[in-house]
Amino acid sequence: MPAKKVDKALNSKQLTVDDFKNDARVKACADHVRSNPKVVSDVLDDEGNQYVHLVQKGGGVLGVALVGYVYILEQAGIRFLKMAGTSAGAINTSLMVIQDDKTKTKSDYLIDALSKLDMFRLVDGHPFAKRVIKHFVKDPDYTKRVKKIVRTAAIVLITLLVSAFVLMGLQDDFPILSIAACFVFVLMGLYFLGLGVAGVYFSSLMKRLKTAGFGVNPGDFFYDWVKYHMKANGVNTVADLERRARKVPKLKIRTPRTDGIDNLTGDVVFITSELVTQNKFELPRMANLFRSENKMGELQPAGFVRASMSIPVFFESYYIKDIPVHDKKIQELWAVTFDLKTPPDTVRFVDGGILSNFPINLFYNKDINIPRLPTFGIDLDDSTPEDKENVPENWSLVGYLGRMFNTVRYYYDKDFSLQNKVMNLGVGKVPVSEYNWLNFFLTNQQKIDLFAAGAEAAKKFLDGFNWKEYKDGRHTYFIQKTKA
Amino acid sequence: MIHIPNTGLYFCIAFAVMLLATWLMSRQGRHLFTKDPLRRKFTMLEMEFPAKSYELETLINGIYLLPDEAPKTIKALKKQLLLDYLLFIPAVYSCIYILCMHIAVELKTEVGRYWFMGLGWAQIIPFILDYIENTYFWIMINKRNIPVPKPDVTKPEPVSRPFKMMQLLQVFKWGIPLIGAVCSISVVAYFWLSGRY
Repeated sequence: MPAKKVDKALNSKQLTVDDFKNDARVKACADHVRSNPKVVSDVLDDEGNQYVHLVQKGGGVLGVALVGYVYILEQAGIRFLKMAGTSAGAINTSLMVIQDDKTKTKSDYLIDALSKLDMFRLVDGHPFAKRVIKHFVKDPDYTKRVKKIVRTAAIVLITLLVSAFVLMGLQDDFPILSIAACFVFVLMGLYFLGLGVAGVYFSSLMKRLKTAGFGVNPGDFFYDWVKYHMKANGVNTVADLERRARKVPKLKIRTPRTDGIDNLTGDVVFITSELVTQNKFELPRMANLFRSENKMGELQPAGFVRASMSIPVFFESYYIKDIPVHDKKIQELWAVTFDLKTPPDTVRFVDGGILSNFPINLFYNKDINIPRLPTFGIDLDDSTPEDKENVPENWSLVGYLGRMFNTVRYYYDKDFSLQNKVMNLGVGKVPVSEYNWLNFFLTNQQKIDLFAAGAEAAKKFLDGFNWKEYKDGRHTYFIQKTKA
Repeated sequence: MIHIPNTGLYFCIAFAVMLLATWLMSRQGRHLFTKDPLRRKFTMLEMEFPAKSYELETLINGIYLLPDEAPKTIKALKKQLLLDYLLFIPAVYSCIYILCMHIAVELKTEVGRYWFMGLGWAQIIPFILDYIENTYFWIMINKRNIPVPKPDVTKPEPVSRPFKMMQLLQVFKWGIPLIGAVCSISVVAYFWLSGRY
């Protein structure tokens, strides 16, 4: 069958778990890691699975690649104890952590949820905004499309003006042309009507954007989708989520180590940025800043994931309202945590990615000499070779502002990474530069390609990972730090 | 074809009434508030162009979630609707009708005459649709707790019949008068610039 026909058939059907797992690239990676078992941790369960902590980076729809990566890690017999993520990483983390038994693979559920998800519905804003987004985000470089539209509009206007000018000039000599001139005027009127309607519509959308907390899409579908999965797995409250995250299977330490598995617990962290107090929040750990213990049931854990992925402007902010500001315990917590004497009544969250898109620092414990298990991180690398070769003098205003924003945005995580280089030994990079992170209209083929990219990156990472080197690195680093 | 005597005078009166109605309606617009998800302002245009099914219902339910402000908002909405009924609708469609008929008389080609005459008479359609729409809003804003189906992520998003009807209504309600006004103004501009007016 010709390739184009295969693509058409694939893109028009509802994807299944097998479509992802049976992809030749994914299968090859899975077979490879299964037939080349590797020691990656000293914490094991009775079935021989090895345990690691996992941190997943945010990146919009590129999160599909995270699923492919996790799938291959699991095929290599790796399971996860503590999990954290931002934005798309938080979504994957949430769907993994809500599953009950940590000894079982989580990726099957993830892939199933992904294959059944109509990503188009995540873009649940105004139909016009939806169409604009669909039109512009298909290619990584959408500015080309904007330029093309502006150029076409300018050419049409010039043509109409020149036609009107010529026809009006000639109509005295050729009276028949007066009809054409009149018609061109009507066309010009319709052209300006189109522009006017677009302008009014745009301004009403801007007004709407303001009243909707500067978010094009309410993000309600996303919230309901996460809530649906949590409910389906018996996670209805914050306490349910924390219980599920902390639950640890029967573990043992690899011989000849004798330090045991004391204090090893599971955990989950979603990173989000809060704009009222201008802080980074780690949820659900900090949920007690918003509600007293007996009223924690009022908070919905799906909201924490929604808060973590509130891509500014693309999604509306996520609010937690009616914080009991007069509650003494809550006042104390705010004072201790953020040095704030008066807690805010309402907090407003946007994507955690603006502060810490790759929170690899979360599970790093400086007091550990030789770790019992590593922290693995999945990094989505969307930089292109041109990015590095780019000449700073040639940047456009947009490029300049983008660089400035990214420098601020990434530096928090980068700073940790630069100061604790040993932690990078557990990080695998998935190359995703050919996809736009906001393209919620991925074709089925693109979804599978992203998944396969994640799988291939995981295989490459596992091939290069050396547990002994990781432990030695941490040990050396510990000694250096202690001496300092 | 109807030749309207004193076209300019009638047009100016209708236009002035339209401007007055717009000003009075915009004053009422300052009192429109809803809660979605926080307290915010809204406009009549939002009611006319809901982005998706049940958005109008959610917006109206949100008005009553602000018990202190709801009576003021409802009163302002009703005033806006009354001004629309009594002043704005008759004035705006009369303006366009007068313009179209005037152009039809001035044009020399048969096609042009019939086109503008048709556009003029076609204003009756949006005129009626506007009254239907306002009556629908009047009924809706008096309702409290309008049922909005709970979202089900496993099923396609439900599309309500009133929403579909409303979308269709807006196409005709806005499309016909806009085309009528723009075509007429374009031809007037042509006449002015070519010195044949």
